[in-house]
Amino acid sequence: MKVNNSSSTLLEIKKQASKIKVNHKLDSIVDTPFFKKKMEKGRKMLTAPGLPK
Amino acid sequence: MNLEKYEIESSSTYLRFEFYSKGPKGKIKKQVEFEQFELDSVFYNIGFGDVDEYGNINDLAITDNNDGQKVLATVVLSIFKFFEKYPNASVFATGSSKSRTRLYRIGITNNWTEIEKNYEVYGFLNSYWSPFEKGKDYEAFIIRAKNKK
Repeated sequence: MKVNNSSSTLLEIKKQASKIKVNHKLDSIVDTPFFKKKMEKGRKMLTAPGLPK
Repeated sequence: MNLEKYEIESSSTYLRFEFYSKGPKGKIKKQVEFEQFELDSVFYNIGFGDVDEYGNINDLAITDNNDGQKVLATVVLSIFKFFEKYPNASVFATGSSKSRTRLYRIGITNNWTEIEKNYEVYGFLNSYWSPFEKGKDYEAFIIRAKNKK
């Protein structure tokens, strides 16, 4: 019984937690969407001819 | 470097640098960061942006703090410091917008005397890399040390 109670409490907590929205605070440029786009752009450009070896 | 610049602080890895722009808009935190493209790659991408009071980063911000030249000179200084730790690296730089890429070009041009002593710069234009020439509207740049270790 005791086990059942604690597991249902856990389920309830999980349910509540899933409803909470967390704002992800970025503290690094490399984590930002625009930097990730620049990484993609850069990867393509680095395959172009004339690149210094 | 002859141009006036801000004092910078770096992480122990020399992959992140921070400084404060000071002007009519107040004290604004700036961040310069280098990210390796792939493990074992010599190419690092440089990111540059403003950090607001809440810690959010914006690389499209136009600070308008009347210190543009000083900020650009400080970004160039950060690149020089990065090369102290990573002498064999090549830094790839492009802006998040055309105007931001133009700012990089201005930064290179204004600091050219100091840059060309020790570094090679290449520009990307019309899908091709070639040695940097002043006045060309490049889409991206690569900077690397002349005398690699």
